[in-house]
Amino acid sequence: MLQYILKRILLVIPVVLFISFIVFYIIQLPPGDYVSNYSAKMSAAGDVMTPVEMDEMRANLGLDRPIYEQYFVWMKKIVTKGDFGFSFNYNKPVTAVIKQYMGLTLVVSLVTMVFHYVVAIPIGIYTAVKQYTAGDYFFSGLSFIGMATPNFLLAIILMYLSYTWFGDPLLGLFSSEYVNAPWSMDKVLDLMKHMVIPVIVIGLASTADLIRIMRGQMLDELNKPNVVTARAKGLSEFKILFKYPTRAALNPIVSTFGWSLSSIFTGATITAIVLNLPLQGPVMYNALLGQDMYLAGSWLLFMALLTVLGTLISDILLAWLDPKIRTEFRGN
Amino acid sequence: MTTQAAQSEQPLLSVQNLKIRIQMDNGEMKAVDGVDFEIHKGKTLGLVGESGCGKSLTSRAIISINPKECKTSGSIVYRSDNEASLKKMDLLSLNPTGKQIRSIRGRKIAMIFQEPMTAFSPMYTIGNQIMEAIQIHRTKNKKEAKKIALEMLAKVGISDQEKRFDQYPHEFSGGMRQRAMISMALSCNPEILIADEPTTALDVTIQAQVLELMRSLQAELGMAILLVTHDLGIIAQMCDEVAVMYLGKIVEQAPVKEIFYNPKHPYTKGLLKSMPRLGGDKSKRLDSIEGSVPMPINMPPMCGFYERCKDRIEGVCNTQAVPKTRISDQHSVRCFLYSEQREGESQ
Repeated sequence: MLQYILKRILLVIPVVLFISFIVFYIIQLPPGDYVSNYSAKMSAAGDVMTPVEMDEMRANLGLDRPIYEQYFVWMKKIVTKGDFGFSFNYNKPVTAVIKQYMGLTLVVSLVTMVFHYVVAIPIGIYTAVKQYTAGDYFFSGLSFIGMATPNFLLAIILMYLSYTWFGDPLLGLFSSEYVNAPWSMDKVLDLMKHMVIPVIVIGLASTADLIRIMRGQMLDELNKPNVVTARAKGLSEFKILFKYPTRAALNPIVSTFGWSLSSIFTGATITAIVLNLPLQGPVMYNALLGQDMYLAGSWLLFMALLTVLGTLISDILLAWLDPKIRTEFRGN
Repeated sequence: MTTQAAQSEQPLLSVQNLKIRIQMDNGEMKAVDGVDFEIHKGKTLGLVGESGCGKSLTSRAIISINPKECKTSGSIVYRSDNEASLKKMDLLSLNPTGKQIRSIRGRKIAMIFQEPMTAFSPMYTIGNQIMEAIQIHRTKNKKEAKKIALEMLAKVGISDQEKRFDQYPHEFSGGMRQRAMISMALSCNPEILIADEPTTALDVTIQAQVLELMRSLQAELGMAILLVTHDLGIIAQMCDEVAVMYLGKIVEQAPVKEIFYNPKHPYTKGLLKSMPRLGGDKSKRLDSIEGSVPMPINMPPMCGFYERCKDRIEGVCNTQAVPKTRISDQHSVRCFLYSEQREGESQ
């Protein structure tokens, strides 16, 4: 098992390197670069840059060198110094930009994730056990609506409702008086109040999805002969439900757990823009738009790494949960 | 054989007028339609019939583990012969998820199933699943339960039990799994063992071993067996008495020798003819019963076998329900060929 994990971790290195090169290449693909974007912005503001100035700026930023050279310089700094380059937009090192948004992004994402599992799994079990009853139709209908409603629309609706009912659209994650205030109990309460709408909006679609998956899995498992065997042994219905079908239904859900790792760190982009949340998503989006290449590149690289690691974590969890896969490991 | 003496004793279980109805889109299906039989201490009753005749539903109805869609009526009276508190009760009248029926399931009436791979959960060790039954019914003590489980595994001929105990079902072979299944069912010394096609999923050689094991354990522990199967060979090997089911009804019931040497119902005769025999004429095709089983939905009162029967009497067999006729003390059949009440013919 340990050997397997080591092997997988070593495999991560070439995969991530390969992805990083592709990422870097793709970011360069659109016509123009950060400097031409910048000059376009400047000229819109009435300040025209001459071609000479632009070339100077390129030379300053190292953008005049060939792509592969830029890539190697970037990679070398990452590996040797942990320096991910410089964000032109923010005029700060990339790591500083990421750090600035990481804390709140993690809080919002993790709370959303807990909400997602805590709500979806019990409802999934309930709708499967009570298949074709009023309760099942209610939650199934709700989950279809949840899946079909675009996030940003729901965000706007909830903002409107919150404004008409409470007189506050609850934009952002803090009320204006707390944004720059030091952490205190009041600030935490304020944050929690502001998180209700984002958590519902970000979590709803995936929660609805998970309800459907859990329900389907449970229906499969509930009709398996091992449930009949357990019943024939004299086990109570409640114990049967949790020991056999629920336990087996969780496996495929665990296997998808790893994929959500990258979304935990990015946070939702569109919802965050609509609700004006200080999360990583919009930062990333603007970096891509403005060809802020080191920030965007670092981001994509980071997400790739998280996806690869997430898959590894899923595999390990699954091996831990599923005896059949575990035996295969032991066999190696 | 003292079947006579056994018959006069009170039966452990007596099933009377058992009916199972299932609501379908195009009407109500009479999956089981008025079944009567008795199970006696230490004896084996074979329930034989083709797929879909209702034999599995009948066997599962005894411990109320059929799906909710099955509407069951009739009575299933169970008389425990050693416990005063369970003197006599109608199992069908109990709440199917209640405490009382659960104290009988696994403890007094245990069951083994056709496919031991799917009947065990792949998520838990064999030991865990065997101990579960013991911990519900016999002892809360984990160590003691494990000891009993290991003894049971040894009893069904599984060697190296300590190691096997901690293995998962997928690490067992098919025959081993069925042995483990039997050890699980017998771990609480049940009075009745219901075996629903216990060897259908196994190789023929393993099949013989498992049947032999069931027989020797029956001799040792003295439980009664209800053996559900479609295999007449197994019936001949294992049973004292046989009930032949067709389309939700028992069409013929008799001691095993009587069924094989003196079959009455055309369906029983057909089944026996379609069995391959050692030393039979190889150039001849094996007999088969023509036609297929009708769906028991909205059927008029008539013999369910009418369409396929070679000896059918038009105007009799297809116009009225067939009553049970006694051929002898222990032999009964549902067929107008042996009935005195042929109303249609006399008119």
